[in-house]
Amino acid sequence: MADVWYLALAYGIIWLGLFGYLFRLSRHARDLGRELNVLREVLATEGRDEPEWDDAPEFDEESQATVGERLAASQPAPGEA
Amino acid sequence: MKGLLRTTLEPMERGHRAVGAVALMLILAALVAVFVQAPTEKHLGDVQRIFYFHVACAWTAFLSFFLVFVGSLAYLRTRKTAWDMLAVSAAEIGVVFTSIALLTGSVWAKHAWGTWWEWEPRLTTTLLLWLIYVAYLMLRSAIPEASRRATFSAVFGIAGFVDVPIVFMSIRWWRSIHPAVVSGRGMDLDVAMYPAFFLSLAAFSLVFVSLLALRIALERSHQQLEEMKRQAAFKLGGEVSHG
Repeated sequence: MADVWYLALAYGIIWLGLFGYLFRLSRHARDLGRELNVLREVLATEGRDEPEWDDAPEFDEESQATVGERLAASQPAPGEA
Repeated sequence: MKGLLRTTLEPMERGHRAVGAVALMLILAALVAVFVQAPTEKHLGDVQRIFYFHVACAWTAFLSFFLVFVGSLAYLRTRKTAWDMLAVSAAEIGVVFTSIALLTGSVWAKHAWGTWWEWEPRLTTTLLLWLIYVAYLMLRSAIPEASRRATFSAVFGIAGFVDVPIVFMSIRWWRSIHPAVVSGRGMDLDVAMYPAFFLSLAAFSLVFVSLLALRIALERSHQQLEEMKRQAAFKLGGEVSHG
């Protein structure tokens, strides 16, 4: 009987490890999707869904923070599932 | 831009799905071989069936770290970020499989040796291998600048690979109680166990390919999204400053 317990424990670890990692990857993909949607909304709000990067103006740190803050606000709070 | 946005987050392409499906079928076939076809070992009994997937996980970990080594070398040579993506993706998967190999080995050890852990050469060098690649991933997360992160971790990835042959040869170089599957005389395994053994190796190799493809696609998407965020901030910032 102890044999079966050890066997079940070992195979449980294998499945937990593999599916746990797959779950982590799928959550990563979902988070990327959410960030992408927010980025899309930010660009649409600014009326530049199709920006032309060739005539890119000077870098502005303050405005970068604004976009960054909007993206950060879309992220789940720490500890939130 | 719209086209790029649409294609950025589609990591599970058709090819990935096909490999994943074949990997799943091979895993099922390996499970049948392990639990139905393979004979019960006379000394260890059913616990010996841990061996098939335990060795397959260790093999997959070695394969992962080999790709970290290859990706790191290629990155230092070419400076192309694709190689860095390969290295970090393989390292992460390698850590997962090394963790599984260490834990399943520990369960085996409890039954076979009466203890969960023994500081013998194979186990110790494998734990060291795990620590090296966990440190590799920690190093990456500690460096914000992309090219510096890629360079430092490439050097670390090459140096860390030195432990892989040491792990493999440890049971020959030092006195070890760990069983040897491949010895100087060849395979130390009952012929009836070959199908389960090789099917498990093939199944885990394909699971690895599938996970690696998915992980690289996610890494690429992540980097593209970061670049798009940077460009969006740059563009919108410009509008504000010019407006």
